[in-house]
Amino acid sequence: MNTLDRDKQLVAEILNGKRQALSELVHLYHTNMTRIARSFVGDANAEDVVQEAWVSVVRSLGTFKGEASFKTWMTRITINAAKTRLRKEAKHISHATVVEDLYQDDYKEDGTWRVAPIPWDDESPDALLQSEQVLSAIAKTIDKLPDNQRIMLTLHDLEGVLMEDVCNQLDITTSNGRVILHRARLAVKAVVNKLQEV
Amino acid sequence: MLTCRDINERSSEYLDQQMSFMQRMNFRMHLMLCKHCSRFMRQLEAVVHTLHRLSPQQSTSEEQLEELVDKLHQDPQA
Repeated sequence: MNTLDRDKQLVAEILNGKRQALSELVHLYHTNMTRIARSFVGDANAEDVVQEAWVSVVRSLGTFKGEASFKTWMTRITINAAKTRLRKEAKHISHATVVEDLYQDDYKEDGTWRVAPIPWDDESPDALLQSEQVLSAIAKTIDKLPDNQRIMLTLHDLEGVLMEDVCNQLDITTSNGRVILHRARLAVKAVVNKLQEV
Repeated sequence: MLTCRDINERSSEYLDQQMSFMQRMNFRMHLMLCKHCSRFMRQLEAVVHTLHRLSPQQSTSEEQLEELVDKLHQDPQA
């Protein structure tokens, strides 16, 4: 059974009052919802936002048609809950352009490399994923990114949300979104690079 | 002709397959000729693929999850 069929079946069972199906759905998606909420509102409020999102999800399960995946649907509801929380607290997602150029010192005026990139011990994702030090550094870097970069990176690269959908949610153009994502990736790469220098 | 700096600036576009055929060819041509940019791209690609595979950290206990399920199950408006 594919993911969409499984989710549709779980929704049908929940609507028939099956607690076990609800438990399964919560266990399947709660952690992803928390990561999404956290990127908007931070650690302290993420759990509250996700609980509010779950209430909205369960109350509107009858309207879930299964045209988009449950994950897409639930992601939108979580983002809306997070944005509502930000509005209530009169907080805004910082869209400030990052002024500093992460790589300006790397290139000469003619656009060629000033200092060549250093080689890494192992340039495979498998190697990076196996290093606790790298994973911890990546997590810390993501937390410290400007709001819009953190949200963009979390939604697009970590959660697999389409660029167009993220940009709609953040009310920015796709081209702006691509620049924001690129900046965020370079920031993460810079940290991994630093670890290789040690 | 793309410069090394151009390669950096457009590297995410390349990885996310947002280039036209010709742009992609020009980009690849530069990578074939420039070992520094080629290394830069391999490293950025590794980082992006790592991000794609990062699992979210479980921060909610089993007990808290079951409490939430109870609350949702008993929600009169659900």
